[in-house]
Amino acid sequence: MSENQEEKGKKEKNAKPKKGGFKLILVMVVMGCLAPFGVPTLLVCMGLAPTLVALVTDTDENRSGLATIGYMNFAGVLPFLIDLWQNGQTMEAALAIVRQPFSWAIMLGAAGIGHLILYAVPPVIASVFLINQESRLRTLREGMQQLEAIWGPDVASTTSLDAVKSSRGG
Amino acid sequence: MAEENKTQQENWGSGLPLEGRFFLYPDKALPAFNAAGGVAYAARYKNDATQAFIGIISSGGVLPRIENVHAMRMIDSPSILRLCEGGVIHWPAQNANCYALVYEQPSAERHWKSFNETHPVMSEDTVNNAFIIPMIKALLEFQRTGLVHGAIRPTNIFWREGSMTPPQIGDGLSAPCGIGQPSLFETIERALCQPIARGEGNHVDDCYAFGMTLAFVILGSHPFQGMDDQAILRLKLDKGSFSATLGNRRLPPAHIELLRGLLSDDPRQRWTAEDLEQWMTGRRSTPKNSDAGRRASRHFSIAGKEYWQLRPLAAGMAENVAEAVKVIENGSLEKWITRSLGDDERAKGVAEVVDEINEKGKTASYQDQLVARVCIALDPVSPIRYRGLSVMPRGIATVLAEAMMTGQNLQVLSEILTSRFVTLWVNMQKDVKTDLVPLAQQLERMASYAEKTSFGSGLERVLYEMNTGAPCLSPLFKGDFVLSPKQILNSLERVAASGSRPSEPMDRHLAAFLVAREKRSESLFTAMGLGAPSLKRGLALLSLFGEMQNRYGPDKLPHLCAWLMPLVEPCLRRFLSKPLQDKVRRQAKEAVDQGSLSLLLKRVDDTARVVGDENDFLAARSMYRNIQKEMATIERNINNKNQVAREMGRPISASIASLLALILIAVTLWKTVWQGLMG
Repeated sequence: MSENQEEKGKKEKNAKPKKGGFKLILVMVVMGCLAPFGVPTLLVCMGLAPTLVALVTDTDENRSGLATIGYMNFAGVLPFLIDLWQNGQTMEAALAIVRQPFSWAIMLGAAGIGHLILYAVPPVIASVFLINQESRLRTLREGMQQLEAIWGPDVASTTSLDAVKSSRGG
Repeated sequence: MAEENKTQQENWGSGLPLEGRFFLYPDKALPAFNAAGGVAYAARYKNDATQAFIGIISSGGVLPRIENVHAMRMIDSPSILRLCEGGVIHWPAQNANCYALVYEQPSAERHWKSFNETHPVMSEDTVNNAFIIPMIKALLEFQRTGLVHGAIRPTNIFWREGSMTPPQIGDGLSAPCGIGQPSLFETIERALCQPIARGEGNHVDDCYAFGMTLAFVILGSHPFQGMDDQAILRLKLDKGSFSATLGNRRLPPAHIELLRGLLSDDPRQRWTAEDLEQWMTGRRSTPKNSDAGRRASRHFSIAGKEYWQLRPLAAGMAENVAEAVKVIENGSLEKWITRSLGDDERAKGVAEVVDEINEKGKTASYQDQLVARVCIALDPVSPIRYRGLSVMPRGIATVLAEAMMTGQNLQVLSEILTSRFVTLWVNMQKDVKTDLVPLAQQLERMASYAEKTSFGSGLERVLYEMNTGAPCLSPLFKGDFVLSPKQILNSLERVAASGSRPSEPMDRHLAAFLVAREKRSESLFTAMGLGAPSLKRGLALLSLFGEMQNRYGPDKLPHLCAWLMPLVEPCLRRFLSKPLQDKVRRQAKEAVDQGSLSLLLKRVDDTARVVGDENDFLAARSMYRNIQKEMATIERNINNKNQVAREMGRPISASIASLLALILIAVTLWKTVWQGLMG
């Protein structure tokens, strides 16, 4: 018995590093992907700061907050990365982009839109879902009443069939 | 002829039809022909009003001997009043159905209207030719058919002295044997019984009655003038029937021989019709004198009374139970039998009976049981004497019937049966023991029925098994006279239509009657007992009556169906689905309207439907549980809106954002590519 518990405990311990390992791998992949782009690109990628913040702060299991912000933030940073790459991926070009407030407005604004979506959409979705669920609840209640009307209160009980019959005098 | 008949019928007024052959006239009583079991009325043939008949209507106090009617109708002898018909008739005076017996009206009056009359003494030849020979022919006829008349006496013989018409023996079937027959005309052992407890006797008992009747005719007066029945019985016990009856009277030797043979107290020595026939043809024999039993050298006292013979002693002991127990237990009785009577065999029999009852241990009725058994051992041919009832084994049937009809206590009878007194009684008989074995077996069977308390058993079953012609005495058929199972459904339909019906069309009597007459399984009726589940009772009743309707009809019994409806209500409640229950109830009501019991049974006891309904119920219950679970989930979601928003809204937000981002990325890439292409 105790051996089983120990094994279980070991498995749980082994399972935890897997989650951290995934993050590490993800970071390494991102780093690996970014490596060919060089420092100027990384400089422009500072515009992905909201995504990095979300990466750290989003505790949701599905990482849907990270995804929402990350997709939008990336969509906002991508035009500047293309612009940098078209201009030879130099530090001057990168700095020119970084120095422009407009660039930051676009990059961070896009992430802000992601935030806005994350703030506004879930309540709407929840409301629509719950309206639907209330309707379903009414239908189920009617179904229960119908069953009770057909079979009597015994349909809700757990007494044996013979006991039900004898209680009805049958 | 037809015109004359029609005129005659009109003169007689309206009669009540019997079996479609006779008319009985309630306003034309014929008291001169009244019988032991009922009052006589004028009767006529339906098709010939010129011939006179008498109809005897059973009064209801006792049961007529219906089981013997068929045999009696087969008899066609000028010396026996001819029975023409027997059947049930609605009698307005009693406002009930009664049993009626129709006889040809005798041409003469009763030879003796009372026993106190005196008649001129006839010559030997006249008595022989005009009375004895026709009567012997009548007895031969009874012996041939195996019928015991049971009511041969001077007041039941229709005869005019000097006429060419032979004497005719009157009715013997309107009441059980022994009822209406003075104990004078009964053998000593039968005379020791209460009249109703004598039961059906044997042919030799009829011969004894003829012998006593003959003594009246020969002497022209009552041989025991001025003596009451008890005094006559004591005299017979003391001297024997023949000596007690004739004493020192001087009679022709042929008559003395005849009377000695007929009035013998030993049934084995008593003359039968065959012996009488031989006497008639001139053969003369001297019967043995089997009169009074052996006398002791010293008397034996019970309750201050002296006894010299066993038979009176047994009677005395039965009347003084407490004293009898003392003399049995202190052994003085056994000593007296051995020393004073010199009957070691009888003493041994008494000792065995006492040992047997002592082995069983003392019960509540120990003293009565002990005395009854010892009395049987002392005087085996006499009746069983128990707690004031003196009954011959065959008399149990008639006593039971009378007790049931009059609502008397049945405890004593039940104890007589269950104590197996009859088995002991038969075992104590000597020479005729083998003839009585079937009787012992029958009574053993009856004892086992009496011990059971279930429907279809008990004393009611004993009643119908032992009285094969008895009608059903169920209170349901009060005022009716149900003789056959074929009549039951019609009678029940009438009861149902009357409005004053009991809660159920079944009781112990009806169940026992059906078991006995239809030879039906007892198990069917066990389900009808009061302790049985109401569902089974209803179905058992319905299946029984349904089968009877199929077998005997009638096709429509709407009132009986309606009567059974509340009883089959548990069958309807068996259906768990209310709509199905309502549907079956509707169908059942349709069957009730059609008056078909079998259809009603089919509707309420459809096994496939019941099983299907149960399966549907279980499926519904499962569905109900699933709904409950789903509702709980939904309610939890409603109460945790934020969680729902998080769990459902955020992934959708991510999807929307990804879609938007894809569009933006696509636009950006398209723009870059476009610019590159343009220049």
